Amino acid sequence: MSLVIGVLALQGDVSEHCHAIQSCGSKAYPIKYENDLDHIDGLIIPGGESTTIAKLSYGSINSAVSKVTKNNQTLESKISQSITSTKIKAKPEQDNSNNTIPYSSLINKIKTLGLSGLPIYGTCMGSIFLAKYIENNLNQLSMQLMDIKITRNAFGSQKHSFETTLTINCLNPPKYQAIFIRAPLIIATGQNVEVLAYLPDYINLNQDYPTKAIMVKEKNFLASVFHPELTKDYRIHEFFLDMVKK
Amino acid sequence: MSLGNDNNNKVSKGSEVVKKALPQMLKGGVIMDVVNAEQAKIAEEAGAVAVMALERVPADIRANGGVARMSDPELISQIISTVTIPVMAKVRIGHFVEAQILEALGVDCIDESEVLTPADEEYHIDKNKFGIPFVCGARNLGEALRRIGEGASMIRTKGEAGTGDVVEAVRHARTILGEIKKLSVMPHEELMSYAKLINAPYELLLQVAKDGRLPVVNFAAGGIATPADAALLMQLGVDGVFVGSGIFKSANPGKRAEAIVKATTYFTDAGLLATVSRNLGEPMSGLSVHSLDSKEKLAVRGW
Repeated sequence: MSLVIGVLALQGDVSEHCHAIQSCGSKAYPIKYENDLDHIDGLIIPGGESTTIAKLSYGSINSAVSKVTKNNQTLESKISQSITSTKIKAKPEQDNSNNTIPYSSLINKIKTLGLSGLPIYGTCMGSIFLAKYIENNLNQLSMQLMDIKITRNAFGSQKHSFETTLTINCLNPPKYQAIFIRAPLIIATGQNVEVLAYLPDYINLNQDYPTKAIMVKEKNFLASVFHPELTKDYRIHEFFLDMVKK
Repeated sequence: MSLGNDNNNKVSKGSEVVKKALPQMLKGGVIMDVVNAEQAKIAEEAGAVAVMALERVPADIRANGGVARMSDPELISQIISTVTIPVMAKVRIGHFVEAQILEALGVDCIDESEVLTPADEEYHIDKNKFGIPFVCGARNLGEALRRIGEGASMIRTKGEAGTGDVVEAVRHARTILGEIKKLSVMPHEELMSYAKLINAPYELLLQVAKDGRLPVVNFAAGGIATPADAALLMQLGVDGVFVGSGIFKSANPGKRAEAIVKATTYFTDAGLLATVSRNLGEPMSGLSVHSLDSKEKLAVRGW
């Protein structure tokens, strides 16, 4: 049986993920519409620009942001609250003819499928979309599926983007060459979140954090702030496909 | 070149793969020209994947004449501190010191652009020396591969900037994509002569023949003014679009910008294109490319 893995195809490095999935012997399926989600066994949210995806997903950033802002402010300090306690309802503005298309239905359906067990893997921007809390930048939206707090552009502009060799113990062998592009960083994790890799301590940051996680798993969700799809080493995609098989 | 300086050699910054990766994250998106922080904010809120910071949009460069140079670093810094999306800025062809300044400022990507007045009429910048990516314009495959050979991490088809006339963008996109298709079916023994014919580095040409695409991301630019223009270029097969004068020279920039972003994502969905194209107000007035004197064309700059 060949698995079908959807790749959210609104913007970003979609074809790289599709290629990785195909190289692992599964079928890749780009997702642009709600109905595309009907036939997939797992979903990948690729790298890209989070503000762009938020815009495309919700129709209007501003109408949804006020609600998310409220949630983030009240809950920011209680990182390990259960996922179901945070409900976000984003609806597109009705007073603008540009925004009559219900983009949010795509994201809402992904969220519903995720809560009912669909395996979802987010890379870089994708990890921002899975996080329950986003530091500093409230002008962002996410599906709030993972009990993690994330900060965007933790390393600075493109000249601080880098590649380095990580040790990821769930891989065999654990050495893994990883690429970080204007990457976010996971700075807090809830008690049910399994940290699969931490940032090596030789990497400089502008600001230090008590937790510096770069790859995490919680139930049916997987997130990495780096980009396995940009290398030819597809073991992390295989790790995700194993999650899907289970 | 590696800029690894985290007190050890375990970290590689500015490597080829790291530089090419930034444009890969921008695929399927719209990069918008902005001339101040306020416009940058509008672009970001409309869903731009990046902004191009410059003092004058190409339409004004055309109208004002004179020498067009790199923008004031103060303006670029203001834009960098206003938005969270990547910020690009332009340098003159061959002006590697302007590029050094932009790298020091912390822009995410440098555009070595024919829209500015060239500083060197023989040589482009050696982009391999820099730790951040460059995007360069091209009208055909030979020009694209020469720029990639010099270290460009992204290509944009030139079109004819500042006109609002999409005809040259279409011509350049069709030319490059057509040449790539031709290469992919060309017998191997013909490739060297073809490389010679189009003045392309042979190794890169071999790679294109094998992969059926450029080794870097390829956006369209130069004359895109409407959601339909953006979708047209996407359907022709580019990875994303630059919109220069087309947004902030129109009557309702925010709304038009948003519509172009949606059109670039859902570029095959005619129903959606019809919806987002409604009531956008006046587009930029535009300038037919055929009304331009050959001396006024920017696309011919580049060697």
